[in-house]
Amino acid sequence: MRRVILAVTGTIAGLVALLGFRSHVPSAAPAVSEGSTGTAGSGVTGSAGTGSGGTGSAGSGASAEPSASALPAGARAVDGNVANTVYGPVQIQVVVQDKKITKVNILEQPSSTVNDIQIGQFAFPKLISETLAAQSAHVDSVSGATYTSAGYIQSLQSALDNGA
Amino acid sequence: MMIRLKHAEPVMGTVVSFDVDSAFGAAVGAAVRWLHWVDATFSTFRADSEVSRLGRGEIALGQCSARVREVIAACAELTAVTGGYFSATAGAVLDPSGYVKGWAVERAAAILTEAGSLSHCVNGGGDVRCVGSSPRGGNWRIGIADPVRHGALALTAEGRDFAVATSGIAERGEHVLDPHTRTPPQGLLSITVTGPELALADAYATAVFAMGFPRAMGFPQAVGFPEAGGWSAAGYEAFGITDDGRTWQTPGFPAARSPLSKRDWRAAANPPRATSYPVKTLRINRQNGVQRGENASKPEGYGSGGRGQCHRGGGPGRGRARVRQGQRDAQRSERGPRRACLPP
Repeated sequence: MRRVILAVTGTIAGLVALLGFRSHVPSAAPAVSEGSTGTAGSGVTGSAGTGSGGTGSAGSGASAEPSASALPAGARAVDGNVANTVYGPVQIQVVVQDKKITKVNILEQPSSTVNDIQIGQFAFPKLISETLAAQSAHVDSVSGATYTSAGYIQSLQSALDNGA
Repeated sequence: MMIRLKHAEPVMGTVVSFDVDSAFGAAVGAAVRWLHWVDATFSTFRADSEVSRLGRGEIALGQCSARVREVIAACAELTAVTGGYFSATAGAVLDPSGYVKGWAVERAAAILTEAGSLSHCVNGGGDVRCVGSSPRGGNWRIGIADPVRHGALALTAEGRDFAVATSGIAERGEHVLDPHTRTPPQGLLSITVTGPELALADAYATAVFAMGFPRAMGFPQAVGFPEAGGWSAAGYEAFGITDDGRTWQTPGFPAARSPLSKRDWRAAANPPRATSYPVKTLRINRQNGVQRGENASKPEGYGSGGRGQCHRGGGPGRGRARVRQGQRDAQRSERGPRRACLPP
């Protein structure tokens, strides 16, 4: 039993050291920050094309496309909140047209290590295609193993309840 | 164009979602009050609930309210009909919740019908009852959650006036026991049962899941529950997913789309070894409530910690075993804590 505790403690300590090495500083302020200075070590700088802010930090986002430009008529872009994960901030944007998500953009993703970038290149396109596929299935409701109230928040059913 | 009312009510340790014409808001309120009454009366997580007191022998069945007697009688009948695979006493204490949630949601849908609604859908934490046809005019389309890839669907069922219930380990771990062996059933990720009534569909899904693989596969279509005149004869159909990614369904299952390809399954069921490490990391952070604010998810109400066939002891050995099992689903790293079934 003592060995187990030691092992767990050692693992946690190792993780703390590992994660502490990353220099992400979670920020409460949402993204979209033309005027943000980034001097205080803020790792969250939402807009990609500025190049002015957030350069001092390893956590600056590698976002794909400038947001509001070149939207088709009738479409609108909605930015999600910044989710601060242990690997760094993540923020997505969805483009909605006729009540359907037509596109998902990654505004902010962890990119401080080679690993982050590799995972991002692999995982985000997969998640995006799943989001679009789930929507194209046109379901009214979802049946599955009973979720907890915490699990509900991340469920497809919760997206349906919110009018996705 | 009518306006739809969508309401999500946290109750019974899960969330019950309503989709109904907005003219029936008052009826939704009545249905929500009903669900909270059921929670207070039947929860095995509340020491003062009638079912808890009945289980401890503090009150006799004859002293219980009519609804409790109704549920206990139905559970006894289901135990007989399913050859013992459904049981309200599979764990250490009386726990009829494998029947209660479906039964309560069925009644909630009926409250809306009685108020005059002709088209609505109530989803009780993944067990769905649809009434009438969909707001678009055709069949209701109910996605069946892929137990491996979070947010994806394994299959879509469609129909009118029907129920879809799923039993599986994807959300709360191995909470269903085989009442004959008192161990978790092997070889299955989820069982979905469709049929006219949610209370029965839910109980049948639990029973067939408790059989494990491959017994579950042969049972519904070939044999049928002895006293129900056969599974399909009663209008109930099943769809199952094994832990190595195979699926099967009874001939009458109202599927709308083809299942996942085998290649998808292999990829999903056998994630690269490296990905299991971040999963553990996430779990640690979640349990401490570090990563997100909403966490501290202890089992509350029934349904969150166990169903009729839950309540396994939570010794440390078992906990470790469950974590190992969890690595199989490592791609669902965004999932909530899988160990919610353990006692708080």
